[in-house]
Amino acid sequence: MRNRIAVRSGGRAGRVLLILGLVLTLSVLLFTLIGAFYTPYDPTEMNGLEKLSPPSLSHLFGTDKFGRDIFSRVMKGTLTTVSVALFTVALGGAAGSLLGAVAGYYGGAADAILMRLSDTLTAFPAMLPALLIISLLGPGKYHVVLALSLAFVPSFTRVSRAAFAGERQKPYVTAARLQGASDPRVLLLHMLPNTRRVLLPAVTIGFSNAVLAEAGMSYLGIGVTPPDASLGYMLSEAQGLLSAAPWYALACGGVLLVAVLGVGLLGEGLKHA
Amino acid sequence: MKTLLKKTASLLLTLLLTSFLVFLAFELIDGDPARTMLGDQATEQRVQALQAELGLDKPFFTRYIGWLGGFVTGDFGVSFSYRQPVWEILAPKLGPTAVTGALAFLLITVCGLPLGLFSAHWKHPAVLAVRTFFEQLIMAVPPFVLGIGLSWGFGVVLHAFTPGDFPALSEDPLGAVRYLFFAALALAVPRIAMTARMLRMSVSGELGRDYVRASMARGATRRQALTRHVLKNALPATVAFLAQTMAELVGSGVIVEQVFGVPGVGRLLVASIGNRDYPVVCTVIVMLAFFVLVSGALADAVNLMIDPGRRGGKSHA
Amino acid sequence: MLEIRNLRVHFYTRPVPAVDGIDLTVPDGEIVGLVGESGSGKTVTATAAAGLLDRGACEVSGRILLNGEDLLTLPARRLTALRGRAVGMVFQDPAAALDPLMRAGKQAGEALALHTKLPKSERKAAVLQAFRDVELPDPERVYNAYPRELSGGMQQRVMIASALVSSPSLLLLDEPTTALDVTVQAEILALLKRLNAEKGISMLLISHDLNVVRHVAKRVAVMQGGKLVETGETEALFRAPRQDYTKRLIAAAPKPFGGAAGVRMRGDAGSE
Repeated sequence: MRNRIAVRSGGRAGRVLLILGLVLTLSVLLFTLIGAFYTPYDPTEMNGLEKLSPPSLSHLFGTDKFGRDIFSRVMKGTLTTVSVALFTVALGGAAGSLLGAVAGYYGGAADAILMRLSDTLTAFPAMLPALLIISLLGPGKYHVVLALSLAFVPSFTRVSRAAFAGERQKPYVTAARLQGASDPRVLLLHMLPNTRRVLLPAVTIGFSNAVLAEAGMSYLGIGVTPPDASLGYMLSEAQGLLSAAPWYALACGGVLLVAVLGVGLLGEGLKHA
Repeated sequence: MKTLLKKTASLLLTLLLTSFLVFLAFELIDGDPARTMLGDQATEQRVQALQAELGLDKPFFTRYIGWLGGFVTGDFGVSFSYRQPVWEILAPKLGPTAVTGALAFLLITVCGLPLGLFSAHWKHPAVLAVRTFFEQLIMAVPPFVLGIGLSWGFGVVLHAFTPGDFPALSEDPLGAVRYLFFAALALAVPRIAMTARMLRMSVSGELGRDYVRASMARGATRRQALTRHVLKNALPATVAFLAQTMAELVGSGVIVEQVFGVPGVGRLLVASIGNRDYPVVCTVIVMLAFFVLVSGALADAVNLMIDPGRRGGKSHA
Repeated sequence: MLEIRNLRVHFYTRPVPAVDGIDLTVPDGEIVGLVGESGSGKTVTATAAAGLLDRGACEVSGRILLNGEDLLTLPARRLTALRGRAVGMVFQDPAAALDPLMRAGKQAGEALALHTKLPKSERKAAVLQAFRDVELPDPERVYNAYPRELSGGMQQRVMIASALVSSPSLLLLDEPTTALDVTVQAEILALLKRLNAEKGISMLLISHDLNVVRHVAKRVAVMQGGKLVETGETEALFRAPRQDYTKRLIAAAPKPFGGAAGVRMRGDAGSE
């Protein structure tokens, strides 16, 4: 649809963005992974002598009002936020993609009903069903994962349904079926690799939405709650200390921004690459 | 006309279904709100008395019909935690939320659409990469984090407003609007980038089509082809996207109201979720859902007017 | 008349030039065919001849003379005016070449709206006349119809009418029948022949299908990899092709009047 020139130059820009996105995403993942096993300080250890100290070599992001090391807390918070988002995308994405794949591949009345339903549901911002579910379940990290994955199912269903319905028409699918390949084999081995160009960007978008939703809900105090560290909850703490310790909010917000930007660029790069 | 009737019927059906699902969800999880409200120590009589008072002793469908009937006539039930009609609690919250949303929407359309058209002209690959990077950067800013940043920058440092000290809309409308402007800005910024990007993509998609070349072959300049043909063809996608934007504003507005301490519907929702005040939560969620569905339906109607024989029904950004 | 002299078009994003030094003449009142496989540079040639090349995306050299004026050096304003008055262009897929949201009549009259000061009623009269010239049934109804309400053949007739309405001296036809049914193809070709005979409009007819060109064009140029490999009188060229490439093209084309068989063969290929 777009003219060739735009696509070509988009390709070159796409590669740069893809690499940048990969670098950012990998650094966030590395940061998360290290945080799982090692933090410079015990993130819960209070130190009455070093309350609200600004960033320094010994405390890269400074300390909070209890003298806890913010860098260590941000590491733990990122770990929670990223793992909640990963589980959300894994669960919601797998369920949604499967539903969409089956609907798109088989078509028929079930497909029509499913699509009407997910069309209606995707009109809502994911936050709304997530808030509804969390209000029923109560806060906590497992409930957040459950609420968000459920909230994300419809959008994944729709994307995957469109991708599989498009592929179904192609000759290679007919060829594979004529050779006697079973339906799961056709879906997984033949069609899934060909839908990656649509599904992968959807996964990256889902991931950043999940990061934002988790952080938002935890900020509101109805998501991940203490003692689990979460960037969102820490931001709500940091907001009260804006004049005394602006670096606290900056550190939490910065990590969130980098995480979302990284996967955003990755998704954008994948679309053109 | 027939399509319009069909659309209206389907909208009503969806509204009904949504309200039913929300009602059912609360029913399934919290089977006994009276006991929840009174706590574990309450005697059986007191629980039953409260159940009768709240109408919880009637069968499910009777209650749903009653609740729905009330909803349509403006009677949303009684709040568990305030023991007041939900409407009385909700009504004063509507103003700030509506003003914030409207301001944000205005900012998004006024800034996002021209930016999108403007950036469609850039072609150099290096410029494209830089543009996409900044676009992704701005899109990645979470509204509530930006809100914290704005309340620090404009509140704590510049004293343009006092975070947490919201002047009542009825007493100091100008001051209130000024206060809400910052909340709206936080909501709008990432969405402005998304809107610009969406419009640019749909315009450049249309620009690559044959009808543009055909119009230029008839002697139109590129600009004439844009204004005569491309903009109209890019409009349906834009309208659908803006409807989606209104919906997204509902979602992120809930959090941003908390950031700025705006006494709006979102804060009420969050507080009620914390208090397990189900009549309020249920009413607010169904109302927000209605808003989302109705704005989507309006967008569909507008698109139907632009393009009476809509290709393939719905279009999505 | 159209004279292309040593035209070379090189897109910055491609390793090789799309058009690599071709010379081509369309004399007044003649139909010249330009054949070649896809990617041979036919469409780029036509785009250049219509003055529609995106000059920011490619390097162009040579000359394209239309009635003595060089399109490549003409200032942008003169070029737009020329496009609206002296040249008309018809595209392969009429469904894509018509703006889906604009009524057929308004689109067909666009050149007049942009380049004349005619009042609306006279523009409408001119469009209706053009519709009658291209043998559209019920011109009034077509005038107010949206493109999707018309069949493929009618859409292509509207496109041709939109090119004719400003009485151009040259029509550029880029695969004008490829997207149409075989029977409609024949009708459109007959129409083009008649317009050429009655109005004396010269035409550059581009096609990958030799049979299309054979029945309409007086002269044929064969293009391969951006270069012209052979030109000549149509019948002579068909009887005695000099170049291997031309021979292969002729051998590969379905036999004359075997168009329908050719289409069926292509349809069967899908299930192989």
